[in-house]
Amino acid sequence: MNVIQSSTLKSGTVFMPFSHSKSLPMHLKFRVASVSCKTTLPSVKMAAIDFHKELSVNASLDEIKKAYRKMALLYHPDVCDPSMAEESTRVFVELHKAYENLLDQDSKCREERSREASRDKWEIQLSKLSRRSQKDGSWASRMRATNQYA
Amino acid sequence: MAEQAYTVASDSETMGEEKSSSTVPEIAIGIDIGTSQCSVAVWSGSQVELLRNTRNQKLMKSYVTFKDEVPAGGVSNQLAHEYEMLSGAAIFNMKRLIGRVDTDPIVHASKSLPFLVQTLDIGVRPFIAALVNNMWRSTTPEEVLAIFLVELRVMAEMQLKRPIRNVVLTIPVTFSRFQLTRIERACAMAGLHVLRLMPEPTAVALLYAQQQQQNVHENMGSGSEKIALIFNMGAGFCDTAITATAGGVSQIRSLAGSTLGGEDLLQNTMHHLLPDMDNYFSRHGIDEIRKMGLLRVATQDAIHKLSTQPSVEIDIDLGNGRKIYKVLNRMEFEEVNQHVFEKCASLINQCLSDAKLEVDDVNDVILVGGCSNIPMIRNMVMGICKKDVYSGMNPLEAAVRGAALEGAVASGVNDPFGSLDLLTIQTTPLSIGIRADGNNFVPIIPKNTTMPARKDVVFTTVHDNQVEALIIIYEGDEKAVEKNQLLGYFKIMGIPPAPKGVPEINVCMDIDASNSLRVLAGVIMPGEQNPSAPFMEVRMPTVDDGHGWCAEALNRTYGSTLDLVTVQKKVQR
Repeated sequence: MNVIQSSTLKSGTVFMPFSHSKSLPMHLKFRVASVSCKTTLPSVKMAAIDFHKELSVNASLDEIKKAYRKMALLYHPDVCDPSMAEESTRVFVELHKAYENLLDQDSKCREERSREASRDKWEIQLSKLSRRSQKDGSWASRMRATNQYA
Repeated sequence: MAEQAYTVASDSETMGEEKSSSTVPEIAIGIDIGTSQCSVAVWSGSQVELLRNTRNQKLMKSYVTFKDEVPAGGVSNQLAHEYEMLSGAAIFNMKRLIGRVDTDPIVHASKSLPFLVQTLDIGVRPFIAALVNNMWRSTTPEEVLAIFLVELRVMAEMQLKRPIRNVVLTIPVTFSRFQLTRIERACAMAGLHVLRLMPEPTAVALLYAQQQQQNVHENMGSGSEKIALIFNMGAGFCDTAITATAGGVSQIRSLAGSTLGGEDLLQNTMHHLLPDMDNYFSRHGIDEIRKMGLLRVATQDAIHKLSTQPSVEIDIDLGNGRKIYKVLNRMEFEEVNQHVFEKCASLINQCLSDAKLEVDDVNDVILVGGCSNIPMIRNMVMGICKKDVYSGMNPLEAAVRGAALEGAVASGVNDPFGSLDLLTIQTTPLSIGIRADGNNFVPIIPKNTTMPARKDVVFTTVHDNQVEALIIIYEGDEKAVEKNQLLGYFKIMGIPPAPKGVPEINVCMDIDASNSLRVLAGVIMPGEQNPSAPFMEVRMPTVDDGHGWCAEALNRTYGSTLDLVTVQKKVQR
């Protein structure tokens, strides 16, 4: 029975960062239960989880990925009891949809940001150039000027 | 071996899910049935162990010899010489033949094997036969595979001293769902229940995930996401996968595969040495089979030697004054097989682009399979990936070890040290869709979609007052529908009479946790809440062995009368 104990601890700590464990204690037990216990567990309500919120608690891409993986280890039908295959399948499909949406948003954001960044950069360069040309003129004109004085 | 204290499961007919309520789960064994070699592994409680046969072999040749009444496979049988396997009495390469119709080029290429492969080229199962007492005795790839699996099961039962029922099998990426049903049938014939069928590189990915997880435990590695490219080339197939791994979870990002392998390298080289080979051997008499065997063994030997030496001398006496003498160098071998190597390279590039990754994103390059020792393959893979090959795996055992891990995970085994807190998130290796928009293939679940999955697409009628629609389901990635694998077909009836383009025909596809595919389809008229007639729910595949005929017959009978087109605005949801 040590087996159950140690893995309970482990998965428990794994799940903590989501600060949502209050609503999911049953499920937590379900995942870490050893095989013999799995069949006796009552059906767990997985329906009411807002995966979008769960995944994006920590907004960085790495955090989203990490959260997705940890949740996959809880909800993927491969690691859930066969008697709950249908429910865990539905839940995992939800989870994955939320994950893909977030990745999509993230990549759009990045594109936007990089587009903005490159436009900003370009504008800065442009303004520098124009400023310089107004102030001292181009390199060529400056050279011409120095040569004249020389 | 010790006394046979086990009882062989005799209930092979009842493959139901009646699970005994014992507290110890039956740990499924992992089996890697290669085109040429085969191995079995199991989770021993702390690690994966490969099982050995009575001759202490971990890798056994995949073949079955038909002699008199009792066939014998490569697990128990001891070959006097390799030529015995090439005498016509042995059937091998069954993995390349299973679930294919007689119009398939792979089946045609198999005609140069010593046993009999006969085709009528009409889209039915090919006729295969073994030479027994100078007679061709017919069999089927499923039967041969089943005989072989029984031997493997008996071997595993002897060693583990318990009945074996559940198995995880590795399969090539390119296997269609129809081929999977043939594998399942062969397993059922052998009294085995398939728990999972894993594409080979995804089994390797699971082993990699476990190794990464161990590294994290042992030397406090970073635990950050690692991208691995897996290239697996055996005798019959070449598969690639890209996986993103962290925290014991291997997420398959893309899969690509082809039916190219060592067998093609061998046949190309044989043709190079004896250009009129097909003609020369076409009579398939005992004399020809013997000569074919000579050429095959000599060529195989030469290819093996070319992996370590720059050139090799080939000297074969085919009799009747026909001799082959040649010094074959490595460059010539590589030229003869150039298109194989090019295709392999294209698979890697395709996998990268499907995963939307650059070569620089790849952290580890894993090269496994029987062809991984060929210098050209190594150079090609390392050249594309600009990286040395990952050294933490035995290239010949990686797939079966991964399958054994999956067997333990899927059987619900818990490991106190967390070694089994693993998961592979699989993706679809091939697109699944229907025939629509004329003679086009319209994917509903595209390739590389994460499983389990559920997707739908809305179609509409092409004729005014069209009251029926034919749904023909295919799997593959060819634009022309007939080049894909037919999985099944059914009709939607009771479409209310309306102008063309009005009825909304919803086709939904659903792949569940055990990878079984359901198609749900029905018609909903615009503005209505409920379907006009009950929806259809059909489990796929429904086709049988003669499926080559079906598509043609449907086309001939119905033409475009029951066609559908996609509704553009509704495709995305």
